[in-house]
Amino acid sequence: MDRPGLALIVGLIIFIIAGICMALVALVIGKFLRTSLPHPEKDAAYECGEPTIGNSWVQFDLRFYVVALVFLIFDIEMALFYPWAVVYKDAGIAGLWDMLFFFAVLVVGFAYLWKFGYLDWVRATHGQRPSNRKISADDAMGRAARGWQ
Amino acid sequence: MPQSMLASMWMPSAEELSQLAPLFALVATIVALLLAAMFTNRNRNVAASIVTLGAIGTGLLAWKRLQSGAPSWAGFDPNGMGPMLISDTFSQFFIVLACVFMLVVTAMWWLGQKSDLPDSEVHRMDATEFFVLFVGSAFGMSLMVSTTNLLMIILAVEMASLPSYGITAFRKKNRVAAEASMKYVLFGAITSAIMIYGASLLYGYYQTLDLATIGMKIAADMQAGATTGTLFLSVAVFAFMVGIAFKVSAVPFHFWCPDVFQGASIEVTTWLSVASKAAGLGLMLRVLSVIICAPSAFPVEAFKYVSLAIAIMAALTCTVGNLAAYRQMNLKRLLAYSSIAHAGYMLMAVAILWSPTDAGIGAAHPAFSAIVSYIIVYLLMNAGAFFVVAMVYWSTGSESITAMNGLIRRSPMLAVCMAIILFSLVGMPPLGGFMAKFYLLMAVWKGGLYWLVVIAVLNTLISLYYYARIVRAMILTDDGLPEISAPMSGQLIVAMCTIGIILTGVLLGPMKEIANNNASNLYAVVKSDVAPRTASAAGPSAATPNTENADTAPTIP
Amino acid sequence: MLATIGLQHYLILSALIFSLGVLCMATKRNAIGILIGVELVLNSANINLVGFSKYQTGKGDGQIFAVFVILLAAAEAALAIAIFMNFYNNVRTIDVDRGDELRG
Repeated sequence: MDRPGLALIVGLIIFIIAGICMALVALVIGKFLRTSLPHPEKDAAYECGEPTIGNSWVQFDLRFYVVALVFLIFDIEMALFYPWAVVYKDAGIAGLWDMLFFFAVLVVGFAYLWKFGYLDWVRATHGQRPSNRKISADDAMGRAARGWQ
Repeated sequence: MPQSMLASMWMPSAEELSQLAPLFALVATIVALLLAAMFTNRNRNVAASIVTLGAIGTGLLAWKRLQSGAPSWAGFDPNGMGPMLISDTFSQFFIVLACVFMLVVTAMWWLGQKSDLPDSEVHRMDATEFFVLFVGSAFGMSLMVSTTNLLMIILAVEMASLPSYGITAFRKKNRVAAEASMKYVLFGAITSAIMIYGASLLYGYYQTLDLATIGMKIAADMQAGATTGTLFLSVAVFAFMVGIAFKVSAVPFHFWCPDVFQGASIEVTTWLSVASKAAGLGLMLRVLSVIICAPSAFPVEAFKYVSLAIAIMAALTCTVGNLAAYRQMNLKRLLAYSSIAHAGYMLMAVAILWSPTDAGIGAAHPAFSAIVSYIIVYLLMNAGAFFVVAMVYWSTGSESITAMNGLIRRSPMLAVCMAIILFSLVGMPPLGGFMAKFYLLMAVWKGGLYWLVVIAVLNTLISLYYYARIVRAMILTDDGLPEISAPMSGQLIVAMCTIGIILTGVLLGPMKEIANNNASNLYAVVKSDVAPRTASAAGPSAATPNTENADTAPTIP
Repeated sequence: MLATIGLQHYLILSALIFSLGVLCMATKRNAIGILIGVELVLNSANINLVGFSKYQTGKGDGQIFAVFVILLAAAEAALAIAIFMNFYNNVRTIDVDRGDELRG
């Protein structure tokens, strides 16, 4: 085996052992120093300091899907801008026009989404208020959603 | 890289862009649909008119190029890495075909939304979305036949597939449609993922995305007698071909086809039955012929196993399609299996692409004209058959074979047309279906695959039974169903398809001539335009095999 | 050996992820599970493309390919999840084995 490889392995092993020791030492010291006062509240999941509402395995509101979808599409669109940004200086004004054309097509899609209310959290198209969609009473997300409206 | 070269890459000339006018017209149609929806509050008639205009415009642009005999063009070739897009008579022909079929499907939508079935409510409500997805899939299929670049092929296949999944799911309240679209999207996602993996392996092995260069490197490797990497290569090619076989619905990648055809609304079924298969076959022909033709001295012998594999797949596809069609009661499902069988017949001609022909260098292989003329007749037959099924469905609400009972009394005109169309689908002389199949099987026979011809003829006999079952229901069974109120324009389209079938039965000779000219230009692109440039570009990176290649291939400088 | 990461490391990683993806597609009965398998296969193709592009061709085309594959994966996932939701609305599950109305 060549020397740099060996050095790397030794270094890695020392690093891993040291890392495990750090955590263990902190836990063991804490075990000896702290007082023991068990309480069911302490076992509960920590949720931003708020008391938890129901089970976490609830069904999410479908509106999250639309928002996530729109975010995904325009987020991925940025990935296509990166290669262009790298060569932008070389490509010159022609590259700008190319990208504007590409962007214009996307803007049409975006304007369509906007116009027909896909970007609103409370969607009101076809003269129908979406707040009367069925939200079950014991659904935590539903309660939260109604609170926001 | 010098700045001027980069700038020219970024700014194609007007002449270059005009070569792609049909593709731009399709994109413009999509954008116009979205804009019009915003200003007319999603008026469905405006949307349908825009699609009609877009299809006519695109078709005329492509037809102009097809007629003028403009030289083939292979463009956007940065650093000699191979062309990204190709515009030749082969691609323009398929674009014209797609546009004609778009008009047929739009007409079917227009008539269908007037009925009071649950489907048509969705069509009235979401016309804009439907047409955007529909034109998007047409755009993807047009791209599929106009590229030889691995990246563009993947993008084109996805562009054709994704909107197809969407329009399959368009009957939102329908459980069967939901199930069909889920099977379609899962099957399509899996096959396309495997196809992309295959493309990545091909790219790594040959270090290029250009199929013509890949073909030359394969030929060079074979002449050098290289055996290393054969397993790797076969895995890569197989994985890549999975995606194309899925589009053509070749066995064993056909499972989506009957489910989707049954679940989707009839417009979508009609569209997918012809367009998806035609585009898949076009892509398959393009890929295989580019690999074979780019090196002028391709070791054809070496490909006899590939040829055999495709022949077996073709035989299986058409046998499975015909046997499964036997016990179908749903008309759309029956026609789905029939379309699988027809894809099998067309695949048979793909299998002889390797066989040497007596045609001179630069002339088209007979497989091309055989498949192209078959696709034309197949389009007429399927458009007619699905239109009849659609009109029966609109007035009875049933897609079952029993809905056809007594059609000869309920609508004599439709019954007679449907009978002619069905006999043409079987391949009865003197109809168009017979002539197309005859030319196809002649080409296969001359290609030396005699057993394949025998299988095709046996399959034709099998298929007679289930097509005749529909004819029997129309003529001999009558359980007193009310008369069909078929719209006049729909009857006119069916009649036109029927006349077309009868005419092609007589006129397929001249048509085949057109198809021959059509396909010969494909070779021109591959031979004169692409090969020299990519050969010089590939030179330094593959030093040892390429010297071999240059010795044996006189046309490559 | 360890100090230099070469092409074969990329390929081994890619082959492992591909196998996991295929396994996932073959064993999962939940539609989203199958979609995760598809994403794994697509990403293994991406690793291949980037690795080959870096070590073999030296050109950017493989990396551009990878960017487009990411794009395709996102578009496919968005559409697939819409279709799964449509299936859920009709069948109240996304277990693919429950899609058994179409057969024959």
